[in-house]
Amino acid sequence: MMKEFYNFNLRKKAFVSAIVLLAPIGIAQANPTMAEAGASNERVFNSSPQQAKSAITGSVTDPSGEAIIGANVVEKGTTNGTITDLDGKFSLNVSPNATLVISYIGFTEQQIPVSNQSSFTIKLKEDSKNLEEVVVVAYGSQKKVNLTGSVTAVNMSELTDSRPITNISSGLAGMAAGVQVTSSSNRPGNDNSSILVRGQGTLNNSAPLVIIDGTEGNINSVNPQDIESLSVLKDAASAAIYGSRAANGVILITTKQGKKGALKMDYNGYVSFESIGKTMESVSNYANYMELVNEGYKNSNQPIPFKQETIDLWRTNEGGDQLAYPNTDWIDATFRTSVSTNHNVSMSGGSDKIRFYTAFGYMDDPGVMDNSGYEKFNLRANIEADVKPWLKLGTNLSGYVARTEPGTDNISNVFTYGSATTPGMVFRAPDGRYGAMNNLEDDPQSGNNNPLATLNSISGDFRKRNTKARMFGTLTPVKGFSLTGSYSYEMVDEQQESKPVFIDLWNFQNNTITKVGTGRTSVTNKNIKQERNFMDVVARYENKFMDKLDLNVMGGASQEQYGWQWFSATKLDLVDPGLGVINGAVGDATASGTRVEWAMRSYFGRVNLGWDDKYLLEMNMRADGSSRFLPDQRWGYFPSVSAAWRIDQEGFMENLKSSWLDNLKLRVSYGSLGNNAVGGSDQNAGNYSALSTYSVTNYILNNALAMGVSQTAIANAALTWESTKIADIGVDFGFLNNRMSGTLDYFHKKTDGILIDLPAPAVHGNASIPKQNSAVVVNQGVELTLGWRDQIGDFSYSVNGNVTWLKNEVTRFKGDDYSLSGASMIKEGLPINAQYVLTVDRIVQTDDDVAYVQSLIDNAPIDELTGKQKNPFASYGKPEKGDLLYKDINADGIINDNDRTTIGRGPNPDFSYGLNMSAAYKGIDFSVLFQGVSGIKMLYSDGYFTPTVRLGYQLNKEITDGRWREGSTDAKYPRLLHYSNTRNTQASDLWIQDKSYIKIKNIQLGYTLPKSWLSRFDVERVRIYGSLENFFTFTDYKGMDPEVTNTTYPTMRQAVIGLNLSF
Amino acid sequence: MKRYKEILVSVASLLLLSGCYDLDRYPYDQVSSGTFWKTEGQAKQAMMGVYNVMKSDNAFGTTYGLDCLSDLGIGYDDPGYVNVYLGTYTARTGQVVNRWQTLYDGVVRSNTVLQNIPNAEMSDATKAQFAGEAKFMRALYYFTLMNFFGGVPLYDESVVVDKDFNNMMEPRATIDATREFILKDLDASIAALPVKWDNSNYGRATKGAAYALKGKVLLYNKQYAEAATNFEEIVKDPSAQGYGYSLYASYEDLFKPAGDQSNEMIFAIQNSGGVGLDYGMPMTFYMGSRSSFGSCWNNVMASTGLADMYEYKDGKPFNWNEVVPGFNESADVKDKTFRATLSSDKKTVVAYPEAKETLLNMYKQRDPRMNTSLILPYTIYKGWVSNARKDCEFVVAVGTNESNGFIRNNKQWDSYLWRKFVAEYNMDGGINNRAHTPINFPLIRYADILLMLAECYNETGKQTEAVALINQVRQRPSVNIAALNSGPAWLEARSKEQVFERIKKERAVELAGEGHRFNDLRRWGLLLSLSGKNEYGFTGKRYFTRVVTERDYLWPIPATEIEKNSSLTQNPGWD
Repeated sequence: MMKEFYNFNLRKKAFVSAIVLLAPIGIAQANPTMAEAGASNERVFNSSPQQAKSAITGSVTDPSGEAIIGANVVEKGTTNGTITDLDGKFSLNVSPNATLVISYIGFTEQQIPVSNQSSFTIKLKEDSKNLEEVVVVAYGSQKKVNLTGSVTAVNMSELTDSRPITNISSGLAGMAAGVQVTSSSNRPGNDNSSILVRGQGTLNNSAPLVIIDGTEGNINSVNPQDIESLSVLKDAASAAIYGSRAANGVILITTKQGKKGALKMDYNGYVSFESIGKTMESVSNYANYMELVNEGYKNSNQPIPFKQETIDLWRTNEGGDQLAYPNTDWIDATFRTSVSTNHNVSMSGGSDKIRFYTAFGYMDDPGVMDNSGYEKFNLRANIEADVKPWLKLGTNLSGYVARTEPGTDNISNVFTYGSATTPGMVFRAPDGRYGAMNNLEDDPQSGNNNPLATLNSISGDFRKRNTKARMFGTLTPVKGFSLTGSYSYEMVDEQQESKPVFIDLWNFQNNTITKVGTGRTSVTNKNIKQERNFMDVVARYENKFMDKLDLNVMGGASQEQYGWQWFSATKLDLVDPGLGVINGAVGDATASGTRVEWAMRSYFGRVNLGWDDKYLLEMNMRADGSSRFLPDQRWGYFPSVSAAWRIDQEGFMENLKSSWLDNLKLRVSYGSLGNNAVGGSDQNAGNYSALSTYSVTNYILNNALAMGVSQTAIANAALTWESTKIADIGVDFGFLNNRMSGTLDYFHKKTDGILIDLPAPAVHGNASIPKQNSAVVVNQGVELTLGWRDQIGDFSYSVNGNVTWLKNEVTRFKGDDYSLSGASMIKEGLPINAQYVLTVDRIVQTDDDVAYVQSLIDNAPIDELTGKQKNPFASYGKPEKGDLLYKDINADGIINDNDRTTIGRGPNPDFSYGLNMSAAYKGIDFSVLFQGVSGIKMLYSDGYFTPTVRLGYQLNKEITDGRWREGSTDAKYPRLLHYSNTRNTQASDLWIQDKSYIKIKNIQLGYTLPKSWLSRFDVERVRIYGSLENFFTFTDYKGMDPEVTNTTYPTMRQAVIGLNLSF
Repeated sequence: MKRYKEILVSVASLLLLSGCYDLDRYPYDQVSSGTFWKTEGQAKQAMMGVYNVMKSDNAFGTTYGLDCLSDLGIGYDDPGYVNVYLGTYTARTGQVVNRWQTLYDGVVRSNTVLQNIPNAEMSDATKAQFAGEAKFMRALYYFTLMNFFGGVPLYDESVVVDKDFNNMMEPRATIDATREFILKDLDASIAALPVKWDNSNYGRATKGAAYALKGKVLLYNKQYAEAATNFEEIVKDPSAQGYGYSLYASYEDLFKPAGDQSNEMIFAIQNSGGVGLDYGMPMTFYMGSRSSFGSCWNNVMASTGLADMYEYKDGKPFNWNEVVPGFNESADVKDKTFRATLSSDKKTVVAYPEAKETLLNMYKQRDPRMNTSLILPYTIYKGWVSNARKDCEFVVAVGTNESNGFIRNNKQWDSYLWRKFVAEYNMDGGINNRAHTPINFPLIRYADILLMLAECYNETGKQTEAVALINQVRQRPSVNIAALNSGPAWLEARSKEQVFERIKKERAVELAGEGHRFNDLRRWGLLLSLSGKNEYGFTGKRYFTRVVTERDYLWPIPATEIEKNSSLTQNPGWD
């Protein structure tokens, strides 16, 4: 817990300096003569230590003169004290040479020597929190005012007090400038979000490095309620000390630590009603559906699959027997509303020598899909002890046990194959039976894709156990010098027992089983282990010279090794279906498993210099060696430098300071960072990319296995770090008694030697291509954080917003050559993954359009080889009425792939923003959080959103409503065609969608019970709250959720009722 | 002083903790390049990797599905090549791109073997043999590439993919240069390969296979005389090499484990199955129905036209009208001929069609290859349902279900299904996975050679010799249908045109389901005969209409490949 220690030291320093700074003011206000009196009193105290107590009285007010009720007034160093009454008055018996300590929440503590005075009027100054805010930085913490780098601290209590945040990553959305959060999957237990700090700097894994209590960890392995502080290190200067993995920014998480003083207990619990936000509508009326499918087949000159009498039959039975004649909406039928609960209890406290924080959390989330619930118990104990004045020891222990229902494993199948269902299926009858196709003309194959059957076709028990232990010790042999060593061990153990469940699928119309749910029983046991060892030694020296020069030197070394392994065995033929282990089965067995590893060694150092609290300079250096690279390419060096000028401290600012300016600081930084994420987003991949390896590719000879080995991965021995250089200029400011505060940053982030999968010509075969260091990407942008807070009587309010403008550009790649993956293009001068698509000239609808198409054919150029006129539509087919006519962008008379052009700026938003407004009046508090992004334009076209029909597949209502049909002249979408016909589904701008959105992430209303009611129960605080999470989304996007890619588990809408309790 | 001692001890113990973690890490489940290519055993392992590519869906794993691009098969989804027969495939269609890449994967693996054999410790003779084997496989992959795409870029063992993977930017060689390259490889393999391998190596390429493939390459280029020489080498064995190829007595068993190592097999993909040994091909998966092991998809089915091609045993051509009057003219009659009625719970047959016995009787009169290759209405298929054997009847009715003992066509089409290559029961435990059918898949078998040689003879004016070879195939013991030119007018085949028609038909019924027909139609220049062809079920329902144009003789070069290598030119009609 060296950070905590460091933190503590700095806090102490801050506190002392605050006293030095503020005491004279307070004293001056209390009594103009106090300074002298205090001085003389010192002598009195020395000569006459045993003086009798005398009674004093006084009143405490806020700066405006309003009485403060309930302020603490204590004789320093004793337990002798009182609180102010309803008029803000107090009386107390004290020694004449005592010092009074007056404190009240939200105000700066004041100390006033009594010095024989008997009556006091004390004006407390509001705590200008911003000014003295301490921010956790790499290997330590700093006063925010002394930061030279770009660091955003996230207010964790705002995040966890009343929002149903089960993981921090998704909770970060909208909370910090420059931090973009995108949900990738929202399923319980795996509701991971991808976090981008300052844009997509690389084509690889752009996830920031997450450091939890000094060690790399999974951001979602920490219970959000246990987090004391969370800082995002955005520029090179603040992150460079993490070197080779910090290129995408660093998120530093420090867990809570106990404080000296009374024991404190907190409880936070809530109940959340979950459902999905539905933004997509499918054709659910089966009669309409059949007509539309017929229309598509007819348009493609295919025999129509549905007879008119079947359609009529369904239409007649609309609203009738829903079991025989269903009109199923797959979204409504697949998802459900569920109730999740969350409880957290923590206890903390400490004495002079030892401090502790313990917490227990329980979460139960049944999920909005069947058999996909998640239950988690987590525990944490943070203890630190001052064993000797020069030795501090401590430990952080944490862990969790989580149970996942095994249907979770099939969720991706639900989305992959869910489009292969139709409204003519009953997913589940009220009596629990599962349905297949009721209509024998429909594709019986689709019956097997019943999402509810898919989810329930597996049973078993998935358990994940995470244990993390960290021990540390700090030696302080001489003042100003300390040596900290720590060792961390993390083990994640996953045990998965699964068995197939055989489900009968029914045709409810003729009441027969379409598919009998039988198969060979089997049991699979899979064990996955992750192990991480980390150790570091850090030496620090700090001192102040000439009363003005602050020197802070830190140097250290660390090493880390990581291993991931799994083993899985399956055995057929269970003795009894209830058994769940391998020995419970008697048939043939198969087994598989593997292991991967990586290791790193690092050396790092930092020097901080400060002159007179005005001029600050910081230099960092890090050297990293990684096992992912061959020895020649192994080591990377990452220096950085940053400086800040606290303009407000200058003499010439005195005038402004006394009127409206509180804080003004200019920062600049420049530095180099690295990225070794060779394997992309999968941390277990890419560990051996520098080595040529051969995999098993067996063959059969004479009916027996003949071992075969082939190169399935091409190596790149020259593989090395990609390096990112970030320049940052920023201003921090606070005005009007810090009611207004903010930060403005400009950054220029240049990533060189990006590790990229270049699409090699397919003639290289199927062996995977290694990442190569190529391409340069520049991200530049402006981040603005602005806040206002004020109090008018009992009413206080605040508005905090952050905006990030970002421009992303590939500045060097392969000259004019480009690489294309689907519609996503990488090319010099373009943003990463700009969409490269055809442009739709029009939907051919009228006879004029048809004539125009014919004129293109008639005027087509002559083929020089054959002398014949070319067919301008050879590539995609001649558009008929209802088809898309693509623009001949290069005007060569032929419409083909050469007519593609880039559209939009790819998956990176032009700007993203968050806005948090809150207000409080007496016990009532209210807040709203908006979050949004703008400018993402991506191709969206999948099985749920396509103008083609396929027997047994869903249709999207947006498309069918807007489709071209005979007689249309204003169709939004082309005519329906058989799925094998791709003329209208080519990547074109028609399928590019604007994924901009504004979400009201959270609205909450809370009420804190008055203290006067609580005091008799010895309860410090009771707050009840209700909140709505993710309830409102404003977007033009036609897919499931603009935050997720294509169709997958969407973000949850949650209505929450909760309780905070403190004792 | 004591304090400093304590500190010293603490620091020392901290340092002790920090043993260094090793930064050199190697994979646990793979061989790395440094340790490979040392021994003959490893050379063989690498060679097995070359063979391994054949089973990929995009190499030969779905070869039988290519029949759907001819008049012999119908199908749906990728294994049935739906995009191709509807003419909707493009230069970006997955199957086009993947076929290109996968066949090149085979080329690259062959090249890797050729590059590294010199490094392994073994005799020069063994090295030469490995080189011949690798060249045979390279020739096979290039030949297949050439068939689909025409002239292709040629990469030989001088290209080290490890280093050059980004710079493989060769333009397309001409079709002649591509063929030359293939023939050169085959000459080398003819010289190096053994006539037979020892038993434990059964399945590797042989000298005979190299001759056979060379003959086929030449035949495809209409070099009939040269092709004939190569085929004769293995048919007549002039220098007494002891090839020992012959027709296997049982046509039925040829496509079952019993016959898949017979003397008829010249080069076959070696498949196996069973728990833990999933090294087969997905014939059952794609050709089998819901009644087959693992509940399959019948993506690939036999066309009605194929069934009607089978002659009577006496060689008389088949005509439905002679069996059921008015059949050919009326869809109603067709439907009535086959249609049964099920009970309302779909469990039993309430009424069989009147013609059931007529049909069963008619099947018995036909070329026996019909009943062994296809599942015909009202015959029994040895199914596997709910983990148990189930004899399933092919009843033509709506709502048939395998659990009630019926065959269920996954697509509900009234179409003939393949019996050939499809697992019966669970193959006595031989099959564990529907995608891994443990039946060797012949790429070249003796009957094919006989018919190709017959074609060479016919083209070079030797009709009598040609007919003799065709008759060999017709009179395999288990088939034994009337010989050509043995009496009745319908068996007359004397002119070049007549004999060619016979070769066409004989290849169709003998090699059905083996994926040769699409290539045959193209090399004969007959592909456009499929243009606009409607495919009907046997009950007369139209299922689709083929869209075939001139450009379909060659598939497009993948657009994604042209994007990476701008020196590649597109095939005619594709841009």
